[in-house]
Amino acid sequence: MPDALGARLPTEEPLGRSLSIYAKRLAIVLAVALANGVLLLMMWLGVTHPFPGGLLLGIVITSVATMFLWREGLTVKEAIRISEEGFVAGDLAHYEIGQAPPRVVALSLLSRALIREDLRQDHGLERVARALTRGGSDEEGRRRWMAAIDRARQELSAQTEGRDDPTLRNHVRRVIEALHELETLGP
Amino acid sequence: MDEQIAGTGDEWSDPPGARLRFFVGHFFAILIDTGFLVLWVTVQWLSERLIQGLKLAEVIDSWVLWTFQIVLALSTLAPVVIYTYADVIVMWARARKKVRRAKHA
Repeated sequence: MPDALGARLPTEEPLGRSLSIYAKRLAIVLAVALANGVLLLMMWLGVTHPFPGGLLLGIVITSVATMFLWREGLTVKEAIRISEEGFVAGDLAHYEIGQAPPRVVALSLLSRALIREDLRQDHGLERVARALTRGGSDEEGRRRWMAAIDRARQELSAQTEGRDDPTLRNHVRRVIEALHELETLGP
Repeated sequence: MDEQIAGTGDEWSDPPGARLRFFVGHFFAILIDTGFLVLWVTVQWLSERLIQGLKLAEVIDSWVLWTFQIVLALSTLAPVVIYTYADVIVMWARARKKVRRAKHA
């Protein structure tokens, strides 16, 4: 089942991508173990055959490994934060269809569509953050904006499908108008 | 609609194929995360064997290696925990969303 925002388990990705994700994870675990193996070798050499600068080299290797792990941890944390914010935005839209002002619902749907679009791309987080405000070029920005509007419309349709309520239908029509208005305001 | 928005449906009411894929995806994700933990235990065991082979005369030298074992255990466990945590968060977020939506339905 594809999840909102592309927040999926690696096993739910296509096989090639899934293997690539797990290969990267395995490579990182093995690289850390290998770095530690080098550290062990240096420590052993340090106590059996001391050489000048050995301790300094050991400290440098440990520092680099720690910084690498720290950065990896921060990246995962940031991805989770963005993903959770997207869930909140989507839920807000889900609850408020039929209640909140159409423009608020339209913006909620649009924000989730934009975040999901970004998570689907294999961009680094810095690029994702930049892409949320502007595209790489005017053309790219426009393409992303239109894709997000389309996605918001699809989601609106999915969330209101089968709900045959005249008041809701009227509200959905106004949300669609608000999305159309946003379409003209995009980059 | 090419894609069902997650959480608006119930996986038990999905077609059997989709339901099977959903649970198989979760099962293998948990299995592979467990595999990484097994790999971690294996690395610890190998390092223990390796260290036993290093003959060191003084007590302080064995303390150095003992410290190394702690550093190795923590640093190799960290990425395993990070990735397992990321997978668990995805499952947890889905479960939370389902409960929230069920409450507001």
